[in-house]
Amino acid sequence: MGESVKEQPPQLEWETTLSQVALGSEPALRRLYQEFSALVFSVALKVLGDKREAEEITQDVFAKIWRLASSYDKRKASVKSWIVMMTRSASIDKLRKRARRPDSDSRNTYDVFDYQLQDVYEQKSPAQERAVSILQEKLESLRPEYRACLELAYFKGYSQKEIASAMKVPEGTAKTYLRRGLLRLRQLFNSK
Amino acid sequence: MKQRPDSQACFDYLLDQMSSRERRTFEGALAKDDGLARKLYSCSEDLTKFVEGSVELTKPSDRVWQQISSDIRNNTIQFPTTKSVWTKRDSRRPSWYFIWPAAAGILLVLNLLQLTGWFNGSEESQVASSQQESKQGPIEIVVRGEDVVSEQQLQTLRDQIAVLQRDLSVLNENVQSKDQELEDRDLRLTNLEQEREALVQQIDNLEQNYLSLLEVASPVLAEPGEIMVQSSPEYVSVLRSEEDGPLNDIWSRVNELLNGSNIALLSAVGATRSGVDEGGAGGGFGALDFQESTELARTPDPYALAFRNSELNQTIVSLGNLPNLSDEQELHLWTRSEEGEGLVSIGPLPRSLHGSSGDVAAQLPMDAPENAELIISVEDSGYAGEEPQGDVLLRTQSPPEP
Repeated sequence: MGESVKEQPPQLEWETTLSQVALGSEPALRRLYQEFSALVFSVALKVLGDKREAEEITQDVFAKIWRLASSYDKRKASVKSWIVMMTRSASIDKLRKRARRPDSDSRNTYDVFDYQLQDVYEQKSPAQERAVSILQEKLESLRPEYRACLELAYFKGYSQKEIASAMKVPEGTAKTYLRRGLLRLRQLFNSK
Repeated sequence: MKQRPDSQACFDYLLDQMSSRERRTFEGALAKDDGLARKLYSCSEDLTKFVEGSVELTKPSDRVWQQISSDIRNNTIQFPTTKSVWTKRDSRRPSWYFIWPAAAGILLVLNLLQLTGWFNGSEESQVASSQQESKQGPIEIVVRGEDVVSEQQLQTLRDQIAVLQRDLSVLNENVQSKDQELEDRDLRLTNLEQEREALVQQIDNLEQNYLSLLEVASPVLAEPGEIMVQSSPEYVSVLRSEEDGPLNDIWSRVNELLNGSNIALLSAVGATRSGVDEGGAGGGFGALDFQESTELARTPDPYALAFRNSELNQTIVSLGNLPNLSDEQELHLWTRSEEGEGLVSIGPLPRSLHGSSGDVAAQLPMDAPENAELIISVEDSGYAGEEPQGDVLLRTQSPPEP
């Protein structure tokens, strides 16, 4: 049985693991954590720019996975996408709460991009590294304004109006950038 | 909800670019539409790839897992729950939420009652039951045998599960490949739509260019009508624009047209205030070059250019900068019926041409000679004489047959 699980495609393997989590298996959650915690932490870090807060988000996300595993709907997203989306959602909520706090330090939007990464994930397999490098290469070909727009929408949760204001362009232009960026994204990732 | 392409709606949903109403409508559609769910799946995959390509993977410190693990063991994290993250904005607990726990409780109570004999029934029914048993023979309860059967059943089930899992994985792969095909088609469709839009835009631009060219060129190139083809007051001002590139273009095209076709420009004559007999043939033959045309345009003097339309057997007279006349006066067009003979009236020009420019299509008499002289004179309104009495304003000639 164990052999056959290993032969399954990753998505199926993670669905099985998630269903085990839904039944209360802590080792299954541990497997998910080993696979996805770096991604979760990195996304939270990119959104929040704060290591401590990113760790809180990582903790929250895996607590949510523990509680909500049974609500996962495989029609709508892969396990990885589901987890990434939960992370984004939780991080942006925290970001907004921070912005509402009167004593909050007004961090520069782009501070996060200059974050000095000291603990780069070392457990990446060569295949993973290759996959990430292909993705990065593809994203390099995205026009900078499209990418900036996508990053503001995804990692900052900005509305089109806020994007327009941050990029100092008319709202219609921001909307066009976002749409074209997404279209280009689809073309990039669907190209053979 | 405002209509937008499915993939756009999916991205808007994933990026929180929807209003709460749009989100609710979208989620409603999502619950019913498997195709939309597939689109959402695909869009979320794209965004995940974007994320993976945009972040440097960094490992959290070990204390994070220790904390999670400790919370699980201490039951600090509630487990399980059916609350959905997909519908986080509508977290009202459904009324049937407690049905399963309640059903489980009822079953447990029934099992306990059966175990304690409450459900064994009356003595009569027990007797009947024993009689029934005696007819069928004693029921053997083989505990070890039961275990063996369960093991076998369990094994069979395991085998079936393995087969089903294999089938499921094959099906999933098929679904994924079909999804991929659908995505590819969508992309191709999107590209084709974009190309179509670009082509439509090109056509629009060309139509605009064509219309603007037509507007400028129509006084010169218009098809003749019965009498008055077109009056274009703007023509004069357009002609005066010496630096107008497109206009130069038009004039050069007119010249090309005139040089090699059956329409020939014969002469353009400036205003004369002399009588009929003073005049002679106007300027020389040949096509008007651009220098001449700008010269012409520079002056506010009236001018007349004659063209020949052999198909309709008509002579087109293009008139420009005609003077404004009082109501008592009008312009008359005359020609010579035969070489050396007197003038015959073709008719008065439309009043709309007064103080303006435009084309006139004239049917010359059958016996009119080639290069027939054309004269425009100023006459009293309603004048019906056989020859001009007023001043001759313009003089030109009908072009020869090619």
